[in-house]
Amino acid sequence: MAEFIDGSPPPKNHLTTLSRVGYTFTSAVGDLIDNSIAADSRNISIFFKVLDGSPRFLIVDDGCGMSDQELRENMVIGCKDPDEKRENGDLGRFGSGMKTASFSQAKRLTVASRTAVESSFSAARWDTDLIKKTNEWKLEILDREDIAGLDFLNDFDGLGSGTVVCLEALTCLDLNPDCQGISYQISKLCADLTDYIQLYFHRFLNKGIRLKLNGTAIFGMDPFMKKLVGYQEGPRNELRSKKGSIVIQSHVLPRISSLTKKQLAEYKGAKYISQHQGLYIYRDERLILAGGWFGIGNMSELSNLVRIQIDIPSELDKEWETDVKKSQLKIPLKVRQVLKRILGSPISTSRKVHNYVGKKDEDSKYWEVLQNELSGQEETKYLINKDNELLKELTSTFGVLEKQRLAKYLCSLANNLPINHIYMTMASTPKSIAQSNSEIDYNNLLEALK
Amino acid sequence: MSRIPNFDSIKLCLSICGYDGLISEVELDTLYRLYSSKNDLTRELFDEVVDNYFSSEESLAELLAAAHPVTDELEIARQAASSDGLDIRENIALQVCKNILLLKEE
Repeated sequence: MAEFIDGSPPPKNHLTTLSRVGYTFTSAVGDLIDNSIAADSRNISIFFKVLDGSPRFLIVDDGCGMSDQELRENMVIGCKDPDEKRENGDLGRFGSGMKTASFSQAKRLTVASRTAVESSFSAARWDTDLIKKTNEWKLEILDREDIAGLDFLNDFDGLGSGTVVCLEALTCLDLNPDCQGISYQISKLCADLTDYIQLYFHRFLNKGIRLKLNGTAIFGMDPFMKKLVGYQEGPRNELRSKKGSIVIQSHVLPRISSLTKKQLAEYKGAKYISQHQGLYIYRDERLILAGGWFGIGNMSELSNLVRIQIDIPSELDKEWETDVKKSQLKIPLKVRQVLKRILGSPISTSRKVHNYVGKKDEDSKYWEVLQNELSGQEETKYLINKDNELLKELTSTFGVLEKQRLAKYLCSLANNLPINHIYMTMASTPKSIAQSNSEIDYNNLLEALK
Repeated sequence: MSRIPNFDSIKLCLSICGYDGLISEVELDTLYRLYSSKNDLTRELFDEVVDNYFSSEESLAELLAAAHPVTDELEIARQAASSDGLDIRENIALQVCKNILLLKEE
């Protein structure tokens, strides 16, 4: 008869596996922010500083907090049943996010929390070195004296209800003396984190949740540029199920060259905007995936203004195969089919935006744009406009030989347009193209011809 | 000639269309267009039935038993479910209904 033996993984090895599930620094912090939002926080402060020579990462929120019992339960890895129905706005799923996210970035996780009805904090700590040393899941429950010794809590005495998450012995920093300074590394991570929060939490930040990083407020960045001139809203589709609705809304951004330098800088430049065309998938308003077509469309310059916003409720996690990090999901077949069907309209609008600019360029009195269909293939030619008045005036005194030489030169000029360079520059830094200093260019040319 | 709509049969069609987990707007529009062409049904009333379906817990088998569908209605369900591509799960639901209907007729 078959026998059953204990097959539970050794904590030491299991911990190593959990700490390598693939979190980046920003996605790990994102998971911690999810918990603060789920706790109905209105103010979230992040501190990433070196204190007494050791770097420390803190997230403080004024949410509903946890009682001692709730804290003990929530510190256990996998404390929630993923198949259980979650309350609206609860961004969690597996009950593992806070712990695995923290273990991926630090060796020590301390959580202190109190509810509105409690006067003192409860606190608990995971120390991965202790788990590895004892090979046991030893969760440290801090007593009153230990809590009084938590120096980071001193700054939050005024906090009513809320939670303080503290990461120490950070593994996301390279403390090797050969590496760049800790302050530099922290600044770099803070810059990345700001960009991440601005984008991935923009809907929360735009509806009243205040988030600060080292005292500086972070504001949401709308990836659809809805408030900018030239933005176009596309069709909206809804897919219903008994667990909730999926809403698909397409957006076409304003033409990149119409953005001011400031706006372009805010959106990290034309290249970034182009590269981030595609699907924007939100789970309960929290951005999960930003850009990319996932096999539904192709990355192209003509569709670079298209963004498809997909809102899914967390009740559909199972159908979307959301992972522990909530950063990967699988688009169900039916949604893929709907997306393929509706994608034509916004892409065509994006093309029209580009073609309109193309049309304006065509009107030049110096250039002629010819488009022909040759054996089923579209061919475009950029030629010198032979009807140009200046050219006619110039050549009116020319003999046949001079006219031939000039015509040859102008043809070569047209044939050797640096098209690839223009294309690349238009796609990456359109504002850098300066075609208006014609007087300086004229003088330079005249000087060279002397 | 218009007939009085059988709400259970609309819900049965919805259940077939939603057997892959989701019902699209195209499916709803097609279902309404086909159903209202043969029944006296306004869009408002149809939307009410749809809302009622989404808040109910009835299974396909229960709806099949309640709706007493005829082949015509299953054809409407097939066309509606196919309007955005017939998913294999939708097809299975359709075949199950057809087979049960055949057994009942025998």
